[in-house]
Amino acid sequence: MSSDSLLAERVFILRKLRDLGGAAYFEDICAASKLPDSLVHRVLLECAQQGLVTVEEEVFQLVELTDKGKATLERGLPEYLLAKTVLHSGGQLPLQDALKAAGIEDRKEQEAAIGWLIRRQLGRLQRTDKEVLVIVAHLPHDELYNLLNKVSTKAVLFKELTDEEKSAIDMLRRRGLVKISSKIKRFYRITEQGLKDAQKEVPPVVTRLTPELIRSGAWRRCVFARYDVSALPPLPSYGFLHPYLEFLDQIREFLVSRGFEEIEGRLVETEFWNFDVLFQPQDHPARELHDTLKVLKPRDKGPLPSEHLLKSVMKMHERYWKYRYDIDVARRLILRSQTTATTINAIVGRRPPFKLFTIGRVYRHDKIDSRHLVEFYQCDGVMGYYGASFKDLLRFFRDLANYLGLEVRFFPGYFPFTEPSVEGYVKHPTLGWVECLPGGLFRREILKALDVDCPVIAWALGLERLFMAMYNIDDIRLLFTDKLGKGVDRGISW
Amino acid sequence: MPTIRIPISDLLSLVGELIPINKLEELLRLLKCEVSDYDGEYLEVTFMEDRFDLSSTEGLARALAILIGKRDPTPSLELHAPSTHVIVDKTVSQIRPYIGCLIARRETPLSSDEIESLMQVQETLHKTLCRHRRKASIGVYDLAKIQPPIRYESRKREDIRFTPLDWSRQLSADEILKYTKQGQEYGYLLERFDRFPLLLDFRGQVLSMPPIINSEETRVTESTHSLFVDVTGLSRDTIDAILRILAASLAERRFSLEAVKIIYDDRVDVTPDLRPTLTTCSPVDLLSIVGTTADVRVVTEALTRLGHRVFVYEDTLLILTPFYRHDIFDITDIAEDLAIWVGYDALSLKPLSMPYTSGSLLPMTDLIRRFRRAAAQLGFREAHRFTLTSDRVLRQLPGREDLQILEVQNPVSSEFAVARDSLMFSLLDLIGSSKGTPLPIRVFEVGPVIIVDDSEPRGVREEYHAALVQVSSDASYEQVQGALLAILKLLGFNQIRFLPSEAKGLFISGRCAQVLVGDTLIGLLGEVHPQLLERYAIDHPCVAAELYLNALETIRKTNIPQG
Repeated sequence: MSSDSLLAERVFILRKLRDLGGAAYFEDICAASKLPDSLVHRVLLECAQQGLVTVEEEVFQLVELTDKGKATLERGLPEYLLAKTVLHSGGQLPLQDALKAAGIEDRKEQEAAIGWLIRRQLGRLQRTDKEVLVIVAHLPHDELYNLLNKVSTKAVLFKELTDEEKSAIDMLRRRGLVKISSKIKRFYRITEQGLKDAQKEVPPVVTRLTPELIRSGAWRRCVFARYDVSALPPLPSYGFLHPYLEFLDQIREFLVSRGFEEIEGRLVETEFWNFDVLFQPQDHPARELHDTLKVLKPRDKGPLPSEHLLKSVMKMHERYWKYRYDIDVARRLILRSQTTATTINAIVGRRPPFKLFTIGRVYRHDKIDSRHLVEFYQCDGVMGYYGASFKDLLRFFRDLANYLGLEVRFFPGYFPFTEPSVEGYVKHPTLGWVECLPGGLFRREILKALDVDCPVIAWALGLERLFMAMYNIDDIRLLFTDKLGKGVDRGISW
Repeated sequence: MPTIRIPISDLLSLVGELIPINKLEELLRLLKCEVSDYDGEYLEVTFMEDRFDLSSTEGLARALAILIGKRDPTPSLELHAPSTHVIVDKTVSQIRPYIGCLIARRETPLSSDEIESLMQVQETLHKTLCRHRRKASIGVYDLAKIQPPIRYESRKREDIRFTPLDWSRQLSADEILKYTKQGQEYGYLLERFDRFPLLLDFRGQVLSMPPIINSEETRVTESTHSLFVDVTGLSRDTIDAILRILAASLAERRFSLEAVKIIYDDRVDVTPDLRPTLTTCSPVDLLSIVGTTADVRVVTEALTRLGHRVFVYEDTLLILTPFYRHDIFDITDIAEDLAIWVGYDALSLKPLSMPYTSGSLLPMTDLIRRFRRAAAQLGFREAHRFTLTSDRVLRQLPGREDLQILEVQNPVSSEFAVARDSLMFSLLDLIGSSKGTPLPIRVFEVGPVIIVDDSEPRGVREEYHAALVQVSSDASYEQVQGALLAILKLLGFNQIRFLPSEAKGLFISGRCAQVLVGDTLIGLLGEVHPQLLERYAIDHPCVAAELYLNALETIRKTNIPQG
């Protein structure tokens, strides 16, 4: 940029400096000119090079809080906490109890608390036969803390402190709570030549285009101050949608576009719908306490299905698994462990053709780690029509994987309620092949019990795993918001 | 999924063919098995819960030999008539009512590989099909060390004394439960009875105390050449299935099998039952389940290689499925074997034959989607929280201590013990535990809540709520009220009203409102009371709103969205 192009700004700033009495600190010139700091800095640099101003640099000491100081500011100084605790408990306490009651657990911090308690004469220690007592008679205001607070709220120059404060600051510095850093302040003085240049005729410099300037037409006689357009601005606060929930909508779109009807499910379900109807024997390990979350309150038993359906399911269990079916078990309420509980309910007596799906939360009694959660999502679907066959299921899975841009491969699977069954795997960039596409044809025994007279394809999607494979995420916990700014919902930076 | 670890040399010598590992992996996949580990000596194989016939070296070897065409399927086996019996005393009927047995004879003694394999198959079956020995348990004894006939009876626990496996002296029943490893692990299965089941031979020698432990005297060693096997338990079906799997394994080791008569009070059984299952169907029945076409010879070949014996009679297939396959209920199970043979990957490339159906979303899904978009437009970021949470999060508000909420009987931890009945508290907790987040915080969530409702058949009502929270030094009622108003307008709602409401400790009195659309209450809004903020460790002003989306959905049908 040529110096001519900054002529208007130069004259403008020189006039401001003149009006400030011919000499001023950089910060004051910025404030007076209302121009961006970066621009003022550049103009003054040019002025100095051309002898229009002189610069004096002044070094001064600024007191600032350290990270430790900031933490201490939140909690209070440990010795004062200790003294306060003792005073509130009647003026004396055994040392260990006092430290515990004051919540000072870190060993180093304990040492500091005791040491400074004595040095600051907030209290004293007395050794008895059994223990060491802390004794605090009275407690003045914590001047040291007030000083720390003062440093945190405004810029404090070391030289402007009283002697007493100086020695206190020195003490805080040795404790690592504050630091004293050298800053350079620039002081500009206008020269004779500068004063002459300030007289030059230039159009007025405008920082902000106002409605008045536009309406009066005065903008024609103005020069607009230049911005440093390449400097990065502070980020404004913005709203955004959770990426995983957006992904769930993407899955919904895929399914609706292929003729699937979304159906509603329940989180609190009876074991009848979650297991019995799905051909899972009542003594199956998946139904035990270490696998399924049972509901205790407000009640632990739910409604039974129609007499007719209950009887057919009971007959199916007793005939194939050869045990005594227990209606009380069928009534037990659980947090559903699979969304198949919803789809199977929806097909009872339904006429073909139908294609249904549901997306919702399911629950398992699992230890939480990077691969397991207690609560996660499943999508379950059913496709019922005459001529439905196993290859349609496999083709459907392949189409879905293609739509999501994932590689897929298939292996035989086993689920109590489907036959033939498949387990589909998709490729995760770092975790390798992950199983997330289970499915099969509902067993004929089940369909018969439900009065459905066409073959029905049933499938489920391990949604978290699909999402993790698509975006190379290796920790399932990131899909839920545990702390703001931590999960996959970090926003733009994500 | 169950896993077994077997010496590869033993497996291949039983198959009678040297198969390279990559080829072996491919073949095992056709049997629904996966090689999960291989170190050059041992092979770790994972199999499916419906194929317990593959839970041993012998079972895998048999299936592999048939698969590569080295031998024909054997749907049944020769079984000699019983030469002895077991008398079942009726006192066991309350404890462990059923038993099945078999005798396996051979000239040559067992090798260490064979003993290891026998132990492993027992162990695998105990853990899985036997439901940790509760449903059934297996005992194997050296036939030469016992004198049939056998009695299966129960005795008072204090009258039992014998030397358990791996011990050198006699222990009482209580000592066995207390001191032996098996007793400590499975003792709970007997603990509540005062009589324990016992197997004894003609002389009174104890064979075992099922389902805990065998006696040392009847132990199988490397000089054992013939075996007596028992399975006791609660389910005859499971006992039969296990005996069949064990019989098939022993036959692979060239034992000759002999049945045992079981004499109950009211009937006589003969075990094991090694008859095959017969299925009749046409090839088209099978092919239409799989969704492909093929010549009948191909179908026959596929099923034969997967272990079935197939006879073709005009248009009908007569399929004999071996006795050891307990997963075959009907032709769909056989169709799966056919599908595996054709190959899942090949099937997945065939075109779909689904008929047209019209797709649709639930109205609630549409409302949620529009709401989320509007909230984000107004500058709120979306959170995604669990429905399960802790008492601590839900019961902070004065008056909510005795709140009725859904409680889990067996929570994983106290952090997942109850279900949320509102979203606002979950978001306040989130903000309180997100120290250091730059202000202003504007966050929202839409999701399910579970509300206790006695009039519902499950005792609860499941609804969708939405919550919006703003935290900043200048947060005021008006800001969130404005955002809420804008969101509702974007969704096409009119006649939105805010009526002063009781604060109830949740909000600052005089700074909270009920939100109505027309005359329907659709939510709450207000400046959160500082007492509550303290409890959630939030140190800046906070405004929160909670909306009931089910109520909104009922009204929405007549409104045109603007967003």
